[in-house]
Amino acid sequence: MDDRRAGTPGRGGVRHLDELGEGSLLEGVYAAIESGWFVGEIADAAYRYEREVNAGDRIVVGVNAFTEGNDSRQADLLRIDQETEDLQRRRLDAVRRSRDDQAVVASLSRVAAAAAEPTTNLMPALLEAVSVRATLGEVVDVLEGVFGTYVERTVV
Amino acid sequence: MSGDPPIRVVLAKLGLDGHDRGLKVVARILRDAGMEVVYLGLRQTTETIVDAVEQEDADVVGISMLNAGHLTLGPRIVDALAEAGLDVPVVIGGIVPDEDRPALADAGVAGVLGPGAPTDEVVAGIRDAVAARGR
Repeated sequence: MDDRRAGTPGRGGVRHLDELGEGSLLEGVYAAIESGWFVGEIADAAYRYEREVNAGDRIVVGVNAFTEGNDSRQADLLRIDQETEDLQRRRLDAVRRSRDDQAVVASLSRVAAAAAEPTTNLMPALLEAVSVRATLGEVVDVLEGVFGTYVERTVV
Repeated sequence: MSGDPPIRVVLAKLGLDGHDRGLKVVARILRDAGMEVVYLGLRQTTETIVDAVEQEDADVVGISMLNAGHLTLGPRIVDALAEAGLDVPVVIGGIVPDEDRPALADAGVAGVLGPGAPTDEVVAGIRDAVAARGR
């Protein structure tokens, strides 16, 4: 098994990252994340894998070899129905009605302040927010407001 | 492959579902089959997909779904395309139980491609969906 398949970029990849970072591997990694190089490599490797399985060059037992005994019986599926969603929405509404909104607002602004300060430990502010029943969505919205969100770079 | 213009296909993940390995493989399969792929990627909404289809003048939409939302979101995007006056088939790829396929077909979903679908099945699935609309 070569090092590419072991999930590391391999010597060629490391050289590429080193060049990208002008001698700093770490800077090269940042640049490669930004440029979409890693996700591109992963996608190319996935495509290579699929073609190998398709062509029979890579054997996957039960998929492209020794498939006798595969049956089409469908497993019992857990289905999440509308009633489950309605129930959860009611529970969320109940939490929102029963909590101290001012405490929630204050705790969320402390989360925002802590998030904006790179050397501050976020965890105490997060614990305070959830202890006054700020919702996951509210906390994430605040963090997204500070950090931004993942923007995919198209690499096809 | 004759003088016909290449099929233009919009590929997207709909909703909150980060499993994009399969869709990226499909993008490469279709590209290598000579299609023009407009890859929208993660966390798309019905609206962004309809907009892309309109702007890119796409012939077909491929939606990847591994979040079990296909019965809700599949028909929704078919309806949204129709409402926008776009006669563009929708093919869903991902984890779709066999028993759900008739409901999707009834809702106007043009095709379903399961996990591990071989390359030629993927290409044929897209070509057939486009051909069925008489393009």
